[in-house]
This record gives sequence, structure tokens and C-alpha cells, in this order.
Amino acid sequence: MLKVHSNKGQVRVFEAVAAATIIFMSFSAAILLIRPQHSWAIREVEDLDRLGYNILHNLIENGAIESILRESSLNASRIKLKTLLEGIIPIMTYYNLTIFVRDEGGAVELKYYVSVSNAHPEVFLNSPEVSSATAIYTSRSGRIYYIIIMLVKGGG
Amino acid sequence: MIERLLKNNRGQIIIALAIVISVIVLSIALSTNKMSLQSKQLRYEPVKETALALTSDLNRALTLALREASRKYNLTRNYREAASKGQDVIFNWASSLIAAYSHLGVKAKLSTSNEDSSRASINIHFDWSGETGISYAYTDLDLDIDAYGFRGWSIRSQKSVTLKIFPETVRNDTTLIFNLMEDNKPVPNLTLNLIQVYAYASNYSLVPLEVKSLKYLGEGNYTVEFTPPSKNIMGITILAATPTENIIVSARHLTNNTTQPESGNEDWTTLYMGRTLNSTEVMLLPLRLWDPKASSLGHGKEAPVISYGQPETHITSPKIPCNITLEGEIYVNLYIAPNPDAKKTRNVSVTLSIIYEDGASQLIGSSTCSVSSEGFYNFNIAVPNSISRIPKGSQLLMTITATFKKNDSGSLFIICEKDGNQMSKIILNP
Repeated sequence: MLKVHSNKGQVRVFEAVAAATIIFMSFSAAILLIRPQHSWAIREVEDLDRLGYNILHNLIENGAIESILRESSLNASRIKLKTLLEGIIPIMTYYNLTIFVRDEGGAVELKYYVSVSNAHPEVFLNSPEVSSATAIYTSRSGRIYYIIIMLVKGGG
Repeated sequence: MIERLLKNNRGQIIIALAIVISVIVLSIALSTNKMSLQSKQLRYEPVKETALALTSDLNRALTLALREASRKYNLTRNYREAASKGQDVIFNWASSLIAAYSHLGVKAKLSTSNEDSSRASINIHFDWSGETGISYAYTDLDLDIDAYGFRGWSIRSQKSVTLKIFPETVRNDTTLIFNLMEDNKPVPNLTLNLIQVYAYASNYSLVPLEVKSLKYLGEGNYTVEFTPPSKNIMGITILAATPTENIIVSARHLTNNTTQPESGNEDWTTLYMGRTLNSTEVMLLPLRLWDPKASSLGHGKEAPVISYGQPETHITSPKIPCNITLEGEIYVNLYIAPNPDAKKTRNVSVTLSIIYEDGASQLIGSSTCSVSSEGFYNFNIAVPNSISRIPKGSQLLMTITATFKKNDSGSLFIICEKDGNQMSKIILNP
């Protein structure tokens, strides 16, 4: 008689543990489902897009790009541009800023002018989430430039 | 057996409840997950940034166009060449824009209200013959960005520089105060090398004067001191370039312009619509002969009307007391105001003729514009090789004609307001 009672207690404990396990597993699965797997990546690219446009806007409207493009040598332009970008781009962010210039000849053609980057080109090719922002810039000298900045969050 | 089951079913109910709760939680989680997947389709697109960046660069291109056009106009005083220079800048910009943003399917149309042209166009206006000189350009941008499904965005970009001479401050033809504004904002950092002062001689030539000093008074006002002109002059002309953009503007102050209208020193190369004290109708007059008190609408304002009932108006000049050389083209700039100000387009033609002393007349030429809204319209009339001058003693006749449809009850006002911003005029020798 005493043995039957002790078995009953063990069954109750087992059933309670089983019920708790089912609820725990379902809540765990729900948490995984509710949090989108790539939301961080989407948000990150959006933030980088905004950052890219803000950088281009600041470079253009503050006259920085005008003074950089007025440099006599391309090397001097490159050094100035790199120094400036590294001062304003957050750490652990890879960038590549490339400037094209409209060909002065008859045909409408954009020619490579100058590029600065703090990462190997493969970083931008291999990363699943690359942000890019573009702008067109008419300088005081009358030359028309097309500027592209690509950004990737590093350390992820 | 059944009794035992009923006795022991309390644990099974707990498990059944746990399963029910799990199913509810998982179904809610699945629904939420599905909704979040759908929201990924609504990803952020940089429409605002792209459109604003393009507009911002259009302002720079328009500034460049006005600078190039004003330089050309200063060198040649040929409006058509100057405007063409500005058009080229905008045309290059528009083609670069299409090339640079072809991946986004950008379509941009640049136009002005008085031109139906497939080529990117801007309206450039120079009025340097009065006490308020202006260099002005504008264009309307219509933008579509197909990649973002962004269509039908329209914005006007404009740039203006004005120079105003305060006639009451002219002292002994050696100092005066003027005001320089860029986009209605004061220009504070003008330097001596950016300003030139000329004496306007009686033979209509400009004699440069040495600028001794330039002092900034605030609010865009400057006092300029210059060497006195060596002979009798008709007035003073100031030419200035803005410090940052180098847009050139000029203004002219004519001395004694109200006391001696019969002195014979009038500039007959630029004519305005107005009345002398004795005239009963609107005439084409030099600024000095124009009496604001005699105007039909007061304050020197004239506004001849053309409508369906009277689609044509004739305005003549008095007998011109000197020979006027004609070369290239005549620049007619009319301020036209449709009433009511609807977006109805009407073709307006301007014809110029010479009426010789013996009563014979000769056609110089005509030009047509589409008028849809209030503003300045340019009618540039090419002078034929057979006409080299308007001889002394003859008159100039301007005929303005508009095409109205049968049910068109609207009208067009040709406005000229002395000392206002709506000065219609004819420049015979640009």
C-alpha cells in the first residue's frame, strides 16, 4: 500500500516536469521565431546608407570636396580625402570613396578620377551587406563629378 | 480501471494544458514571424537623399550658368550669346545627371515656363540699365526616379544678384552708396578688385574711373569713392562681381534725369513703355523722358491689355532725335501677366517696324513666345542685313499680337513699372 502511494507521487513529479519542459520549449521556439534572423543586418545597412549620404552631404556642402579637388596633384587630393574621411567615419567601418569626372570631350562619359579606401576590395565583394551612397557635384571650375561611397561594418 | 483513470487524471490535465499553451504561443510566434518577413519588403530607400542631392547640385550648376552668362554678357553685351553660354552649362549638367544615375532610371526635365524645348533650358535675365541692376536665372526641374517608384517631383531653382545705386547719395560725382545682394541676402565681403566704376559719357561710351576706397556699411551697403570724371557725364555705372561665385551685375545712375528731359542727352538705345507729361497714350520712351505722374495706373505703371476682343496693340516712339545703329538683333523683354493667372498657353508675337519721316514704314522682324504664366518673356528679333540703323527723325513701332481661342475670356497685361521689378523694355543696340 505504501509502495503504490510513493509511485503516484513520482508520476505527478514526472508529469509536472514534462509539462514545464513543453512550455519551456514552446517559449524558446517562439522567442526564436519572433526575432527576425537578419534584422540586425537590415538595420545596419540602413544606418550605413544614412551615414554614407550624411558624409557626402557634409563633404559637398561644407566646401571640403571643392578644396580637395582643387589640389594640384592627385596624391595630395588622396591624402587630404583620406585624412578627412578617417576623422568622420566611425571606427570599425570599412569605406571606399571613389570619384569619377565627366569627360570634357563630346560624349557623356564618366572617367575614374581618384579613390581612397581603408580596406581590401575583397571586403566589399564578400560582405553580404554593403551600403553605397552616391552624389553628383558641379565644381566652381565647371567640372562635373560623380562620387560613390561604399561602407561595410567591420568586426562582425 | 475507469475509476483509477479518473483518480489519476490530474497530471494528464497539466500536460494537456501545457500542450494547449504551447500551441497558442507557437501560433502567435509564427504569425509575428510572418509579419516581420513581410515588413522586410518595405525596406528603406534613399529617395529623399537622392532627390535633395540632385536639387542641391542643380543650384550649383545654375550658379555656374549665371556666372558664365554674366561674364559673356559683360564682354559682348549680346544677350543671345550670353544666354547660350548659360544654356550649355545646364545642358552638360543634365546629360551628366542621366549618365551618372542611369542605374536608378532617373529622368530629369529642365524647362522654363515660356519655352517649349526638348533641350534642357533655363531663363536668364539681365537688366543693367537702371539704378537697380539685376542678373537672374531660373529653371524648373521635373524629376522621376524609376528605381524607387518616385515620380512627378517638381521644383524651381533660381539665382539672383542685384546691385542698387542710391541716387540721393551721389556726391559731386565722386562718392555714392550702393547695395549688393545675392539671393536677397547681403554680400558682405566685396573687395576693391571686384568692383569697377565708369562714367557714362554723353556719347554713351563708358570711361573707367579709379576706385579710391570701398567701405562696408552693413546690410549689403557700401560707400565707394572714386576719382572725379574729367568731363561732363550723363551718369555713373557700377559693375561688381560677387566674391564667392563671381556673378557679374551692373547698375547705372543717370544724373539730372528729371530736371532737363529736353536736353537731348537721352539714351534712345533702350526704350520703355511710358508717357511724357504731354502724351495721351503709352509710348516707347527713353527712361529720362518718362514722367511717372502721367502714367495711367499711377507710380509710373503702364499695362496695355490685349484680349480676344482686341488681340493687337500698337505702341510707337516719338520721333527719335538721333541715328541708332542696329546690329545683330534687338532684344525685347516684356513682363506679361495673364488675367486670370491660369495655366492657359497663348502665343504672343512682337513685331518691330520703322516709320520713316516721310511716312513710309519698314518691317524689322518679329518673334513669338508661348505665354502661360506671369513673368518676363524674351523676344529676340534678328535685324536683317538690309537695315543698318534707325535714321534720325523716324519712329519705332512695336505691335504686340496674341492668339486667343474663341471661348477665351482672359486677357494679357504688358506691364512696365518705373522703378519697379516689372520693366518691359526694348534694347535696340545690345
